[in-house]
Amino acid sequence: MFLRRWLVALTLLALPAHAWAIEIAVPCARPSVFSGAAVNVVVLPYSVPPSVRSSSAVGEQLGALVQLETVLSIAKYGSIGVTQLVGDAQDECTPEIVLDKLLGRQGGARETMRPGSGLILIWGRIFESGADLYLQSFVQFLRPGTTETVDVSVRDRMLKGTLSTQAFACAPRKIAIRDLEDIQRQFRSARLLYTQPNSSSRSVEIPDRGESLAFWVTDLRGDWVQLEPMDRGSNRKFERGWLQVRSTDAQWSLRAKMPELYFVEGVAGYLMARVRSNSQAIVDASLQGAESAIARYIEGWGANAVLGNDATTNGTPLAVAVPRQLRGFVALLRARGADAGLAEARTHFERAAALASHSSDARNLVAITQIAQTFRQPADAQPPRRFVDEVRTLLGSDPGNATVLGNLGVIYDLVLTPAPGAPASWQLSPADRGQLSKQRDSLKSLISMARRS
Amino acid sequence: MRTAVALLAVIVGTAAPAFAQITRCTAVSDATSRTKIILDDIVSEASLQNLMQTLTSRLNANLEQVRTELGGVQLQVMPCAGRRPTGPSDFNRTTVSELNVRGVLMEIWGATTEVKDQQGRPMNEASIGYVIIPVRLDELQQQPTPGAFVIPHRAQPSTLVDDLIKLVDQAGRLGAYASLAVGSKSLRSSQWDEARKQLCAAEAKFTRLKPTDADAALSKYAKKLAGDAVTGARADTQYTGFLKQEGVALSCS
Repeated sequence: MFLRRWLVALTLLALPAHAWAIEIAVPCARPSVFSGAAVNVVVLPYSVPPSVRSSSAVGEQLGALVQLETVLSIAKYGSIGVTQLVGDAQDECTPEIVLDKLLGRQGGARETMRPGSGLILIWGRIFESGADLYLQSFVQFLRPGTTETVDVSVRDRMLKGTLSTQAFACAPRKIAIRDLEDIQRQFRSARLLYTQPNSSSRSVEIPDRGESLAFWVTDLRGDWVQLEPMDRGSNRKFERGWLQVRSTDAQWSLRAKMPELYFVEGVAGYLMARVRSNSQAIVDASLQGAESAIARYIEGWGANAVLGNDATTNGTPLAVAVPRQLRGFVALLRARGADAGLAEARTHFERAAALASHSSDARNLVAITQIAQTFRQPADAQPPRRFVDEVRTLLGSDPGNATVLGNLGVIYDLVLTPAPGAPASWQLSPADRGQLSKQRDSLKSLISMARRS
Repeated sequence: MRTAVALLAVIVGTAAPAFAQITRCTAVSDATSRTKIILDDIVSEASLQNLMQTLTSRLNANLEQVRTELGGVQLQVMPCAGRRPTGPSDFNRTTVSELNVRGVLMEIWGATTEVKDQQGRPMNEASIGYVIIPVRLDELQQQPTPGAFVIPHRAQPSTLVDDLIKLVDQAGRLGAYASLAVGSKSLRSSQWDEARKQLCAAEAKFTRLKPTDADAALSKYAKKLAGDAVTGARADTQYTGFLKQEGVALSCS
């Protein structure tokens, strides 16, 4: 808690007053981001299948609460924008259409993503049955034009790894109707703008229909955020005021019911570290926030999971595998090449690969950390020759994977170049050397193509 | 005369729906998507709304998951309102060829009905029909693996929604089928690298399922086609990728 407050205080001091911004009720037909923000989060309404129409507006309200919870959890990173979209998921409010517009692949966005910045999309599906609400969230994160990769150095060479995917379905969950009522109550209280961070102060209601409204987030105090209206063409004017994101009486936390919001907090920290890599202070604070939030997600992802909390059999293995991979990325970035980071990352990558055995990228992440550890601490019983065969087998199941192909070229170079201080068992026989050199030569054109791609 | 008209009405009344149920659907011919999964109506007896809503909701979410997670494929899931196949036999060569040309990878339909178990006790049944278009095309050319089939899921009428969700959730199965469909289609168009990737992924995904008879056959088929991708690549004079390398095994692991 102390650390969190310290981080908030640090970012408040380090950043301009208008470092965060939110916009609510933006129509899906004309989506928007804050192009000046380093990381944007866009929350789509949770949809209901057309043949299972619900009478309540819980989908949109849930989206609004996800937005506010997200603001509170990621404001500490600074330079963020969080937008809530509204509209019909059967029409233009689909993640693929919204993403295309925000990336400028098709027209219609009011403000598009700036190259080099980060974007997180959250959407979902809900279904009400009797006294319960069933929901499933989906998350996608990206930097336009960039695939998230991690580098692992081995001697003077670099091995690369990528995530299995940057978009996945979270575990479907059940929320009891009393919690649904809490959502609605919280939604109503989260539409009141107070003059002070105190629910007994004077308040004015933010309308929940009609035009979109944008605000700068100018301060944070506990569960309160201070909002200053932004002139974005809206006719409606508000004074600066305080909004209570979490109600004090509720023993209920949206993040406890939807642990994926911890993942959103974590991936926002990761993206912030990548986007603002020129500031070591921001990188360190963001990675620390990312590590802690992803750890909490991995600990709590099974809360209310309808299909059980065994990620290997519940149909959503990537919902645990990808966060574990990202935690491995964060461990490597935080350690800046130190061996401890490598060991921690390998543990996460191995657990992820056990869940996503179909993914060559998952197995590649394990391979590159194993190889790096082998070369950093040469042991007699572990000659590196076997890695050539392992990575060739991996490539045999995903022959177009340019990352793995590039790594194979590096592994040939490493194995064929005598390692200083290596045990005698690492020496290649002339026959082995000849065979490996021949294999490397036959792959040269493919590997150079992979390096260019 | 009246009897004859009544008889004719009965004949038309029973035959017409069967014909009408595999009706044309604008989503099939939608040219904006070259790779798509079609989701037909989920039909239900009036008393089984709970099961129908659970099934509809899960199938929608499961297909959204497939669309989201199937890497590198611009897949669209499109509903076909009013389309109600009566069974696998609706998917004959003409229909399947047209679906293939239109970029349909899979078509899914469902029904919920009241049935009786072997002891005569009432049960609720959710049946999900699948047609995996490239596999069905092969099946219609004498290959034995089923490309169109129905998987029934039975529950006691008192089953809670939580358990119904577990019963009808198809996330793992649909992921395996989608990889098999993309891989099989890529194989047909000599895109060896993509075919190999998807077919090996399908093989791995099948190992995580509680397999039905159809799943077991499809798993074997994915393994065979993954080997065919290597054989095809080796024989292709235009192909210069990794599968041409010496020592690449036919098996995925």
